[in-house]
Amino acid sequence: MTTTEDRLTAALNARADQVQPEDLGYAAPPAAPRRLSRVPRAAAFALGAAAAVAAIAAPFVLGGPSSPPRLQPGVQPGLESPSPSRPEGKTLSKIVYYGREGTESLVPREVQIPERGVSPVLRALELAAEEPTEAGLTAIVPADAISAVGFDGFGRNGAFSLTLSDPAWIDRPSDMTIADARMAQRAVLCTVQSFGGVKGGHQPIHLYLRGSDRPAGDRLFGIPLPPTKDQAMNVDCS
Amino acid sequence: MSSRQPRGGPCVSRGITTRILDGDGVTPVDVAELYAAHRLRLVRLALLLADDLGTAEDIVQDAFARFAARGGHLRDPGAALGYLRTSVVNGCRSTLRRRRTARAYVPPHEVEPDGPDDRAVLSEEHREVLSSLDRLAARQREVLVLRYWSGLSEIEIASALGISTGAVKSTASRALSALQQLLPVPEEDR
Repeated sequence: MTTTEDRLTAALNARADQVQPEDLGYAAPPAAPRRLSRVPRAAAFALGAAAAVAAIAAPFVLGGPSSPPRLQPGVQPGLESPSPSRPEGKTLSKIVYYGREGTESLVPREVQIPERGVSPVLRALELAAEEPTEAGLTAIVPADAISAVGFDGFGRNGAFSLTLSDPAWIDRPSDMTIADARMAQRAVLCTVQSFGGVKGGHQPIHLYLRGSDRPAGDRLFGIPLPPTKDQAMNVDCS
Repeated sequence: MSSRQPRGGPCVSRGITTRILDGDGVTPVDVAELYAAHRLRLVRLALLLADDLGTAEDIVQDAFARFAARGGHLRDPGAALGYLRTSVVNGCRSTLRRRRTARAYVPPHEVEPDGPDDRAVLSEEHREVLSSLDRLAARQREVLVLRYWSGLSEIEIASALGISTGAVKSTASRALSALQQLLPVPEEDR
């Protein structure tokens, strides 16, 4: 006669053995975060504060045009293109969204994302933050704003969960215009929704803060998220 | 690439070894070695508790990130695995709490619940056992997984879950009884 304990042990072993080393995605342990000593941290804060004051005061002092700050393409050192050390194999064909320069239009572009490895949705957002090579397009998703993307629940009952890397992303960054922020939020939502949830349908999106289980509110980049589920699932991606 | 500045936070790096010293700075704990030695088993543990490989991997990666961030503050290097295991169990608990929040939402249309596909390849007997296990309380499930899959002693389970050994005993006993009630009689015993 098989005891409950035997049956339980066998089932647990069978389930656990479904995961083999080659199934794992992350390639290396996380590094310890680099900590600044108190003096450099204070100096960095002072420099940052001075830079912020200068940026605000400059248009008034110089009497120059007060055009809204513009997103500048830059290089994000922490973000790498697909690395050889990541497992290669099957790729997913997904859509990421860029901005059309000089407009408020989103432009979808197909990208190939490794099926295994760092979360494919997160990788899609990383790609959306990389400056596209195609002329006339620009990256409008801020790099590193989202640190994790998950899918909570099952089937159509589920929802995407976006974890913000920093509470500051709830509000609009000072160098982002309202139009840019609105576009950036749409690009994030549309890129995530391109993963389709269940059977190609769109799912609600909830925000969380890193290290917290509580929802992070209803704003992303200072722009209110779509208030109803229907609106969340029908974001304008054009 | 967009111009927003990185805000710090842990990132995945390659080939970096973080050494964590004990109180006297004598015995180093090599995070890379721990990662190589225990990651798979911890991912499997997380899979049994959270039932999703991607989530399990993220939980374990977060656990290692927190562990690395503690550099210099771990008094007993021998307790490293215990620390990681507790961190993984707590991560799974948080994930399940989030899922409950998401499930509490009642959509305005008919729902077709989809189960995890990878369970489909398990035998019917194993699926039934795991399905019954899912119906137990979270704490009961944790105790059973740590006892019957991780093979931990009552003291180790108590340490991982932050409860007394007495609570481990009683929880395990009640969980097994509940599981027995939920499980169908195996074919060979019919």
